[in-house]
Amino acid sequence: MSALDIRDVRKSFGALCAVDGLSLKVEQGEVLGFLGPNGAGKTTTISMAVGLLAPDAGEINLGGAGSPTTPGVRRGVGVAPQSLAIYDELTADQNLRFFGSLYGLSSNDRKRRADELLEFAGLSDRRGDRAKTFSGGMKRRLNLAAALMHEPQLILLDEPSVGVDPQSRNAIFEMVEQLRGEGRTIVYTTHYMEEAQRLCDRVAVIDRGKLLALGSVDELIGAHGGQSLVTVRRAAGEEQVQSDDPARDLAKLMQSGDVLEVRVERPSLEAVFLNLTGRSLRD
Amino acid sequence: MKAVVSMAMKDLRLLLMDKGGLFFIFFFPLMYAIFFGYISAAMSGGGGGDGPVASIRVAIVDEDGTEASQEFVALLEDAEELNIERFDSRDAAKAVVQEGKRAAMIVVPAGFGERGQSFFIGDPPTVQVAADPSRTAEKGMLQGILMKYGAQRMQSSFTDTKAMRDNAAQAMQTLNDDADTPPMVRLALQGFLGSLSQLADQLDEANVTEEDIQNSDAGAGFEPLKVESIPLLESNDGDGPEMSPFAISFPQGIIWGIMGAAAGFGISLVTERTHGTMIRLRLAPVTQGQILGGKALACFVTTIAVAVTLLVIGRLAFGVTPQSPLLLAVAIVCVAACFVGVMMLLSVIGRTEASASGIGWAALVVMAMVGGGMIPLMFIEKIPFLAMLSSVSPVKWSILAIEGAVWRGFTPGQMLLPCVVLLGVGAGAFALGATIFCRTERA
Repeated sequence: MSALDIRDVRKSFGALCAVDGLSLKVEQGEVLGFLGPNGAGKTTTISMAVGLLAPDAGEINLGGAGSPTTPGVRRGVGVAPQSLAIYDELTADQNLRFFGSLYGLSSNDRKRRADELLEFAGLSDRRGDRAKTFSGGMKRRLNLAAALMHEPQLILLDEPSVGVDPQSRNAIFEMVEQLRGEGRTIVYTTHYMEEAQRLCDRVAVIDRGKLLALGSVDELIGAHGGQSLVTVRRAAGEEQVQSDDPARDLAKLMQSGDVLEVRVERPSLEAVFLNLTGRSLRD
Repeated sequence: MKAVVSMAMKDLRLLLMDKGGLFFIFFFPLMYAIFFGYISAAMSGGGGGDGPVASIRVAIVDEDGTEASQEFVALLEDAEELNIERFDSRDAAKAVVQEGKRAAMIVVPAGFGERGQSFFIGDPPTVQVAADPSRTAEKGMLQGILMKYGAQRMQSSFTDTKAMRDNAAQAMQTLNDDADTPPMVRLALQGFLGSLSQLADQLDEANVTEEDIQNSDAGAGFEPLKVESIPLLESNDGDGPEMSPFAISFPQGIIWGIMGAAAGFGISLVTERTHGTMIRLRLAPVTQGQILGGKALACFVTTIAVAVTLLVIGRLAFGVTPQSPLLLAVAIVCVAACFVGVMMLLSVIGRTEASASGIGWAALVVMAMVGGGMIPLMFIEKIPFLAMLSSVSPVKWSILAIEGAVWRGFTPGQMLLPCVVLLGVGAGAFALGATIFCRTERA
């Protein structure tokens, strides 16, 4: 049973078609990256996946439980929205306990989960401080922790690292990796290819509301990334070769001797996106 | 229900952390109530000489039913300063004053006509006035107006020589029947009344015109009318304690506090939207009805807290004693329910916190203006379209309901109308606001 099953979903806002016939299955326990530039339709798809928006056409099923527009079905989903969704005037601890109460957690469970998640997010020593006193990165981590209070099996993280410093970004990556280690299913939207390459088992490339490609990073690069670039530097100068089989071509180049340095540049997801759409992820 | 309570608790916690919000909800209304209470106290102490106000609306009861009393009532009905409505009983007239529909009640008691026939002997003709305690300026003006027409009525007696002769004869009879009158006084009055009869004869012979008599000082030197103040409320009869002037200002202060709470919570729903937390609320397994219920419960609890706080301070520090604590509780609940509905409607009007705050306060201030929260209703009611607007302002009905329980001495029957209006306005506003909210947030 898929954790999330999206079938031929469409959504328009007036004349703008945000999602155009998108179909996708997210398997239990995997981290699926949702890669696309701003305005590609990622957030709209996530919003439909959790019941915030109803699709104009198509179906969405959460773990076989039904449509996410039903409040009870959403109980198994945790979402960290792109825009911070915490109360600035409440402390970190109060924020987490309040969100836990919305899911019917008992007082003891709320305390236990808040303690665990504050530790998880590295905010234990700031638990009694109001969120408005936090840095952007700390707020992002609290925003993510709030999505986990009710121990959801499916977690949707919408651009969780936007606008944070490198240290906090790394902390968020470690949090996601820990969740993956616990066997949670994660949908991770981003327009940073490095994040998708580091964190995701599979990546869905989306643009203009359409799913362009879906697979593991290696599969996508193999299928859509183009050739690797093999560079050999000699005393006389550099020699570059486009290659489908870098190991073979590198061995050939090494036979002529006097090699000072070699470099093999594999294509990235950026190249995948460029080849699929004709434009850069950051356009 | 647990989720609703959680959301309400969260909102109350947010309110407690908002010192500015707390000031406008709790302390500003208290300052308002104390300030205007002192002004009211000063005015009732004799400093309440306001400028001229046309056409005071009063109820009148003619308990005497004599020709003289009927003439006096007709005289008052013709008076341009007064807008008179006749009532058959004192209780019916008292009720309209209690309900704020009339500024005062004038009672022409039995014996008015008889007293009016006996110049200089016995008590002067008396009328009783029971005024709305919140309209002291109008009460003062009314007393002056009554004295004016009392004098005019008496003066008119001197234009009719037959009436003058009859009145003198009646007075002579009363004097002769009164054994307690000291002999010297009796002698003097007998001489004077005899002279008065002679004066009537001479005026007839001289064919003096009415104008000549009216321009004379014939009516001077005696009391033409006695205006007696009577309490509007049973509990203030006899030697009972005077009503605290703060009893008038505290209900208005409570309304300002409740309006502050409605404005604050109206903005908070917009804040949830603009700060992104509405998304998380909607993602949780709660319905939109529960989200609105949480907001409504927090607003309701706050409005009750405002009312109770001000009433406790009013009771302990300023002697504001409700006539009926039970009816006051009913009134407060109805007012709170009404403003929860108003809050819900205000919360969906603005798209940003700034616009919600601006529109919300503008709407509430207009409600307060036409509802008597800022400008006395007596001024509002003189302009027909404002009077009509006033009738749909929840502020008017809120003040009436709370005053009805605090000092107007409403019966449960009298409390019914304002409470039904408040609950109706509240339910209508809540339904409209909730419908717009659900439509806006609908997936």
